[in-house]
Amino acid sequence: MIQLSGVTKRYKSLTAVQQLSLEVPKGSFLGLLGPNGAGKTTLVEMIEGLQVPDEGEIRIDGLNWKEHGQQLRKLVGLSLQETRFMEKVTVKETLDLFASFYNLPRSRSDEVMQMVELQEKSKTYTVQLSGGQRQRLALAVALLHKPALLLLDEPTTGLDPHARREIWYLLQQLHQEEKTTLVLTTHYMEEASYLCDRIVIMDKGQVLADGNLRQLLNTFAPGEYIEFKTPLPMSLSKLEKLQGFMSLLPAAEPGFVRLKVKESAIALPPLLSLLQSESAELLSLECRKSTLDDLFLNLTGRRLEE
Amino acid sequence: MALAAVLGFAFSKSSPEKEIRVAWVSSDQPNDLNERLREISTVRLSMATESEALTLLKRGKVDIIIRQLGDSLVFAYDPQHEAAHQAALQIELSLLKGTNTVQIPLKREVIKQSGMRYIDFLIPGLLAMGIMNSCLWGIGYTLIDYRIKKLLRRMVATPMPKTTFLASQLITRGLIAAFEFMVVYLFAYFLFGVVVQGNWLAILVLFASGIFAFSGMAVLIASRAANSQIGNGLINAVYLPMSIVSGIFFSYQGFPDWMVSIIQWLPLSLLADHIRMVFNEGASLDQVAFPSLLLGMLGLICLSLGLKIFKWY
Ligand SMILES: Nc1ncnc2c1ncn2[C@@H]1O[C@H](COP(=O)(O)OP(=O)(O)O)[C@@H](O)[C@H]1O
Ligand SMILES: [Mg+2]
Repeated sequence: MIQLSGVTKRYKSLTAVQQLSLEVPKGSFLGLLGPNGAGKTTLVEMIEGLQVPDEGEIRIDGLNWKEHGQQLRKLVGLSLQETRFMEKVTVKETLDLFASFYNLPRSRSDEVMQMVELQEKSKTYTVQLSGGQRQRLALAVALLHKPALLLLDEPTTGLDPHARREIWYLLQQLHQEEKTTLVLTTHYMEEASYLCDRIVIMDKGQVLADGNLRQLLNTFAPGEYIEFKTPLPMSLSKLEKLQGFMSLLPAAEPGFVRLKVKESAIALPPLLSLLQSESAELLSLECRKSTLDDLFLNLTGRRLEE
Repeated sequence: MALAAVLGFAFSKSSPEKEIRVAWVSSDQPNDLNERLREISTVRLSMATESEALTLLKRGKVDIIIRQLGDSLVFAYDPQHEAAHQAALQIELSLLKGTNTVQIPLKREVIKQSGMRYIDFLIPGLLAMGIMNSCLWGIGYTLIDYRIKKLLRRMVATPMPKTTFLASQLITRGLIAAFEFMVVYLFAYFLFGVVVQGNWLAILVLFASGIFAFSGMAVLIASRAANSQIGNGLINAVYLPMSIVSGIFFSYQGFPDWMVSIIQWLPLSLLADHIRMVFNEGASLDQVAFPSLLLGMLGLICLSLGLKIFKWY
């Protein structure tokens, strides 16, 4: 569906996107994950034809913006990072207006309004919408002309968890029922983990890692974490003998011990019996799998969400 | 800064030193009365026939007409026009004071005829300013606002042609401005008896060319501004000077000649002067054709320049 080769975009001395190549097959749900300033917006806006790359080539369904702009505009649906609409215009009027831009009948705006469940807000001014409702309106506008490719720039940033879930639900439906090819950008790792069948991690205008969640974690952030608290000091030599032990990590607070192991289900029973034999009281215990954040930390030394 | 300078000028002109522009109408040869008037340092006297004097007054080129009728001097002006009233008092005072007082009686004539009063001067100017207002703020501000909200960007991502978008802005603005125009006009008509003596078609042509000129300017002004302060500043930089110097509230004839020769070609002056001509002097379509053409061309130049550098994203 999308082919990028060697795409570069510079702003004066800053290179926002650097020699980026990527192929997105039809029907995939791709997440572009990266911290603020990674170049996600610049990249999707180049795919949307709103910015022109300084170098490289972008093809969508074999078409390019220079020659096939009008065809592509019909193919691509998009929501921008933080679009605001005309304030004293209602939801329905906004949709009708955009429907007219695509030469679509007004009945279509009712359909999309239903899809994003904004019927009750039909006569509400756009300024009076909540953040989540506004994002759903932006999504509805993007869906008007039934695009085969949908590009969403941070569709859930700044939303509360409930509103975020609602958007996630809508996107999953689109992906499964309409077979729309979806690309979304986010700096929330849960969002990418939960929704996307393929995650591209970006930083400083480049791709750091690319694959589905399993592959990425196995390759770049193997292992799981066990963290516990006990009043007695634990000796490294004994911990090292645990099955699947990988490393001892600096603990967040004194009294805590942080271990990285291959699989916590295997390492945990011997750890518990070790503690018992030392008659060390267990004050707290926590296990977690590694996340995209750990992966990002491993790759860049920085955290994803800050 | 420029604004302060302009305001300073405007203020200095309303001080007591302000030049008084007078039309002198007399069947006699220039005589000593005439000389006496000339001696008053602030008076600028234009010799005129009766009909010339009326035109000068209608165009704001003079504030007072002084006629020598038999053995009296008649001061004709609209007392509602504060500047004219002050000027008349000042002239009377200078003629009567000193050793060499004027012996003949001084009379006043209140100008009441429609087309010659201050309100007849004011209303066409306000109508012209309304057109400028509506376009610069209406279109200029809307475009900048849409850009800030990323709505422009969102709209050009649809298959709708950009020209359609701009044309719709222009048409919407034209309709709104036409409505505003009629409200002000009807108000002036019923309350003050301000009437259009000339051709309504000429008004329509001027109106359309004004809308086009100021819409073009609005597009140019808004072509790159990316935040509302810059946008506001740019619009004000065009809007404020013109609304002050272009002879809306007081005639720009009071400015030094070199400035007048520039000011009269400003788009707002062109529009206001000619709307005024149609209202008060009954100007015909031919008489407004040239200024309308100029305004139209200005609009076209601004529009094409604006579109060339327009930032949609
Ligand atoms: N119009 C612009 N002018 C200059 N620099 C820009 C512009 N847009 C983005 N940048 C810079 O390019 C980098 C990438 O930005 P962006 O694509 O918005 O990142 P993201 O969407 O991942 O947060 C950032 O460092 C940003 O400051
Ligand atoms: Mg962004």
